[in-house]
This record gives sequence, C-alpha cells and structure tokens, in this order.
Amino acid sequence: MKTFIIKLLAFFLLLIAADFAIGGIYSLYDHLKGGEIGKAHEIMTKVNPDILILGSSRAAHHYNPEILKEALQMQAYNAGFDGQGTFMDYGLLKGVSSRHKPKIIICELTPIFDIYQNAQSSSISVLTPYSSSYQLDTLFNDIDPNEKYKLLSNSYIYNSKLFRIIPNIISGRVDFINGYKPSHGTLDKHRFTPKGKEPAFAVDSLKVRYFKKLISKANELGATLIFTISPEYYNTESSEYYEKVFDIADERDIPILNHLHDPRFTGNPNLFIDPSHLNSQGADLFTTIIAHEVDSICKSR
Amino acid sequence: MIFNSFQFLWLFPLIFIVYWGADGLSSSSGKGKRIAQYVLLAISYALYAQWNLPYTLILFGITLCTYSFALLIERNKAYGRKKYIIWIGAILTILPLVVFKYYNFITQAGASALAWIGIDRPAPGLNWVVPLGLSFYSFQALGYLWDVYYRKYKAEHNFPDYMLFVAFFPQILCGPISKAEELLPQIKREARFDYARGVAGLRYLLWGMFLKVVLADRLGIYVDTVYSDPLHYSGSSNILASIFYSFQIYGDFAGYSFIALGVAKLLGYDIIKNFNRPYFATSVSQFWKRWNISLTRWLTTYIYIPQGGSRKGTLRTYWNILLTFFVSGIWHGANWTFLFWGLIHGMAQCVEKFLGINKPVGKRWLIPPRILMTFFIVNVAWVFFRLPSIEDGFAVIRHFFTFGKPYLDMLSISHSVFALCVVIVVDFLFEYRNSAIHSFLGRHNAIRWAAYLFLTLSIALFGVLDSGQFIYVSF
Repeated sequence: MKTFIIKLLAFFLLLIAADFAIGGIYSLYDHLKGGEIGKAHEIMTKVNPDILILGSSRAAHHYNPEILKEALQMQAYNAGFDGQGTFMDYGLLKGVSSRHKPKIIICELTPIFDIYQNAQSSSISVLTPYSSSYQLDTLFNDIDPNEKYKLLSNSYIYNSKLFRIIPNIISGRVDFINGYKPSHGTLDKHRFTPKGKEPAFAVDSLKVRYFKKLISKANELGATLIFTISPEYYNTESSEYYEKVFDIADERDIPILNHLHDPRFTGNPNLFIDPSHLNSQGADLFTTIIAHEVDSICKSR
Repeated sequence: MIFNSFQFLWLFPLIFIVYWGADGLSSSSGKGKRIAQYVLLAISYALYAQWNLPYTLILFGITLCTYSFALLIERNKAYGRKKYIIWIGAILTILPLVVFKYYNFITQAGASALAWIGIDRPAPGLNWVVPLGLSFYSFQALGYLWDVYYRKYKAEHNFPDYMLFVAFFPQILCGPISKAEELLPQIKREARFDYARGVAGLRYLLWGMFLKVVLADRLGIYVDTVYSDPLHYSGSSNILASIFYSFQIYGDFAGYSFIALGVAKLLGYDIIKNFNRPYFATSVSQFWKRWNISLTRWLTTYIYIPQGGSRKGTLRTYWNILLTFFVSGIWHGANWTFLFWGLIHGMAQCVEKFLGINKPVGKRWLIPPRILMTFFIVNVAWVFFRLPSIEDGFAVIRHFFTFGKPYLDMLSISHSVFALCVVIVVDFLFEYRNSAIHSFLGRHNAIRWAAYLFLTLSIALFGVLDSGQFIYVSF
C-alpha cells in the first residue's frame, strides 16, 4: 500500500507540473485571427467600443458595426455569440468595462437564452481563461458550485480549446469584422415550415438574476442600454414569448426596439438565411434602421 | 454515483481510504473482513439511495426475495417442489423489471392488437422512472437463484454478504453481471491490498475514463446532431453518424465496464472483464464473445443451454439462438427496435453457423475482410438500436444512398478523429501485439508513465466534462 500511495502521489505531482505547463496555451491566444475563442479574446483584452452589441446568433449575424459607426460616428463592436445569452453577455460586459466604458449597449433579446431554462444554451467555457483576471469567478460558481475547484486546473480551463486554436492559427482565417459575421445566401422556402407557438418555458431564476445584473452593470457604467428584437421570417412567433423580458425592461425603463414582425423583413426570403436569421443584405438593412432608432433614443435622452 | 462526475473525483478517494482503513481495523480487531464488508455494503446502499431513496426498497426487496427463495430451494430437495419454488422466486424477482420497464410496452402492444381487431381501448400508462441498474442487478440475483437450483452454488446463508453481492456499487448501474461463484467468495475472504491489483485497477479506471469522456461523449455530439433529424442531413453524414455511434456505444459501455473493473480492483475485488476489443471480431458470433461478455454468459447459461443449446439438432439450435437474442433484445429496452436489433444479431449468427463461418478465422488474409463484414452487420444493427422506431431505422438506411453536402462540424470531427485514432491504435496493439506491448511497457517505466500522463491530460483537455450519463444506465 505504501509504495502504491507514494507512486500515486508522485504521479499527481507530475500531473500538477504538466497542468501548469498547459497554462502556456494562453500565449497562443494573441495569434488568433478568428473563431469564437479569438473573438472572445479580442473582446476581453483588446477592443474599446463605444457601441457594444450583445446577444445570441441573432446579434452576431444581424448587426454590422461599420454601418453603426458611420451612422452614429462611434466605434462599434458586435459581441454576439451563437447560442449565448445572459451569462455570456454579462461576462463580456465585465471584460470590456474593466478598461473602457461603452456609451451604448444594444442587447438583442433571445428569451430562451436570456431568461428561460434551456438545455441547448451553449456553455460559457470560452470565458474560463478570464475567470480570475476579470472577477468572473462568481458567475462561474453561480452556474455550477464546483467550478471554483475545476478552474484551479489549466487543463480544465483550456478543455476543448486546443483543436479550435491550432487550426485557426495555422489557417489565419479571419471570419469576423469587429465581431460581425455576415451570413451569405437566401432562405429556401421549401426547407422550412412556420414554427408553432413557443411552448411555455420555465423561468431560470439564475438567468433572470444575471439579466437584472446586466442592466445594473450598464447603468453603473452610465451607458444607454437598448433592447432589440430582430425580425423573424414567419409572423407566427407570438410576443407572449417575450412578455417576461418586456416586464423586466418596463420596470427599469429600458427602451425596446421590437422588429419581430417588421413588414419590411417578415416574409421576404431574400433578406433571410433561415427563419430566424437575416443574411448579410437583411443585416445591413436592419442595422441601418436600428442605427436611426438608436440615434433618436440617444438624442431624446 | 456517476463515474465521470466531479463527485466521483473526490468521493472515490474518500471511499478508498475509509474502506481500507476499515479493513485495517477489521484485521487488528480480529474480526476478519467484517467491518470493511459492512462499510462497503453501507457505501453501496448509500450511493444507490443518493439517486432515489424509495427505490432502494426495490433493490432490497429483490435481494431479500432471491436470498429467501435460494434458502427454500436448498431446504426442499424434491424436484417437483423445488421447481415450483424456483418459478415463484424467479417471477417475483423479475416482477419489478416487468412493471417498471415493460408495463407500458406490454399494455400499448395489447391496445394496438385490440385496435387492430376493432376494439378501441386506450392503454393506461405508468409514468414511473425505471430504477437505475434494475436490469443488471435483477439478472445477477436471478442468475444466483438458478445456480442454487441447478446446485452449481450453495445457497448463501449470510444475508449481509448476499446484500453486498447484489448491491456492490462499482457494478450496480451498468454491470458487469457477476456470478455468485465469482463475487461471493471474494466478499467472504479476508482481503489484503495487493499492489499489482491496485495498479491494474488504476489502469482500467484511466482507460475506461478515456473511452467514456474522450471517445464516447465526443462522438455523441455529432451522432446526436445528425440523429436529431437524420433525413435533414446527407447520406454521407448519416453513414458517418452510424459509424460514430458504433464507436460511441463501445466507448460508453466498455468505458463504464473498465471503470467498474478498475474501481473493484482498487477495493480488492476481481470482477469479469466485460469487453475484449469487440470490433476486431471476425464474425457476429465472435463479436458476442467480446461484447458485454457477462450478459452473453448469462444468456448462454440461463436461456440458451437450458433450451438445449446446440445439442438438439440444427433447427432447434437456430431457434435457441433466435430465442436467446430475443431475450437479449427485450432486456435492452421495451421497444420493437431492440427486438429487431436482437433479431438481426440472432439471424446473422444462424447464417454464420449455417455457412460454418462462426469460428475464429484461420487464414490471416481473411481476417481484415471478415472484421469489416462483421463491423458492417453490427453497425447496421446499431442504427435500429439507436433510432426511436424500426421505420426510422429503415428510412435512415435508405437515406445512406442519397447524395448531398456532408455535415462537417470540424471541432467535433477533429476531437472524434483524435480519440478514434488513440483507441484503434491501442486496441490494435493489444489485439495483435499483446505480449510484445506488455513486455515493452514493463521494461520502460518512463514510457508507461508518459502514457498514463497522456491519457490523463487528454481526458482533461479533450474530454467532454459535463458528466453525461452512460447510455447503458437506461437499460
């Protein structure tokens, strides 16, 4: 037993040393040109936008920062991520605000990711390398109380990231401009059918808490927070699905730019790539409309 | 306790310390193995109760039932009475399995049959969660009962020993299904920690964890995506998903079995090695000597052989094979897909027996094509096993032959290819260069340790660390 324990401890020491060395992966981050990890790294460590766009894929592919910059004469950055919502938005805002205060925060609402329980929400693991330096430990621990132990390991922090980083560094592929990733193509009407009424989702109390914290953080920074809803191709989606977020926004006097069933978009396959996502043409048109509306809100305040 | 969970990481070392500490205490107090054995029994029940406290009563009920009926069989040596006792005992043992797992299936099948003859009577359904590991521990306890009946094993008189035999925590959720003659003597003997067994245990644990977390759960991401709406994806994507699923279920189940084997060894117990590189089998018959070995052994001992096995002529042999795989199919789940999957395996073995190709291949050049052919049959059968209905299975197989852009999620594919390469290379080396690799690793400590480190870091760096459930837990 004694030999067994000694050898086991020796192996653990070796493992700790190897784990420490794995922390060196972070030095590769500065060579990233694209990908989700590259984008998150850019947001957390480099960019200083005056306009910050937050939200899910409906943010990432719908808001062209160049158009916002031209219209509002301010630097803009699209920090939307596929399958992400409140937790990611909060983490990114904390990262950016640690060195720069955005003036306008546009937050695209996707209730399934923002306030409802949903198994399809992506994990916020791209933020693990920044957990201690940007005080995101509380966020991680609130999501899973075991995270504080797991985050002690570099292997855990960089779990599933190596095969994302290395191909990106080798290819040098840039897939976003100021965080914006345009979608190309048009909607094939035969592939999709209108989705019915969204089922009654259960509210995720932790998401709601962080949704409110996100609002408080924006207020604390003195930024103008604006909620937006992008168009859907079908006009079947009910506004009921958004009721809960509307209530929270109303309580805090946050303006909502609701384009869910905007007739300029809804039903026009040339502006969509799928029923919930605009293509680059649709995104440019939508960003132009949003830019004017945001300008009006800012002028009125 | 799920082996791939964070809880296992901190709880198992504690169990290890408490168990061996209790064992030390047993020895010093002269109480043999008693204290350690009670500790292990308490841990096994506590871990089961942690999942669902009321269902612990089912575990206890099956234990009490088989224990009592085994004693009754021992006391009633007259054949006629003994036969009644075994059948009553067997029915009572499988009753929870029938109620929890098959009730809905049976009533729905009954309702469909009635509807077919024009009687519309909706089947009342039960919405109960199936107790974890019920199929495994029921079969283990039932096997013991039949062993006592056939006088292969004497009835156990010590109830706590027997309780531990049924509830032994490393194997309760997904097997392997142990025989009384293997496990009960180990429960009774006074164990000492054995260095070689402990090291072997860690190796199995590490390899099992790699198979589950790095191979199975990675492949599962692609498989789940494609099989969520298979006809939406191209034929090539469906073919890839089917191959990935074959390896996913291997990684998942073999992974669990190796972890269970490793955990048992670390506690001083040897349980059956449930997997032996099944995809290197050269026939479906050989496949079943390498896949879920303990279930195959159970079915052979308690279904195939009592029916006459291969002793009652060719046709009866074929019938016995089909019957055995019918039971295997229904054991896996209450769905026609599992029955169909069992039927494919049963029929393939009948054909192999008819053609005389069920034995290991002699000629070396024949081995690769036979491995590929076996994999092809097993792979097609897994399609039905994975999908919700037989119609879906046929639709997917028809869809294999359609063209279209393959779905290539590079992240999931790159991780999957990495894991597959490691597993195929390791399995190949141990299949065809077993003694050479053992002697090489035995001589080079640094390489052996580097291999351990590589596997451990691979689990942490490339594994899916979300404690995904084992597929076989639901069977």
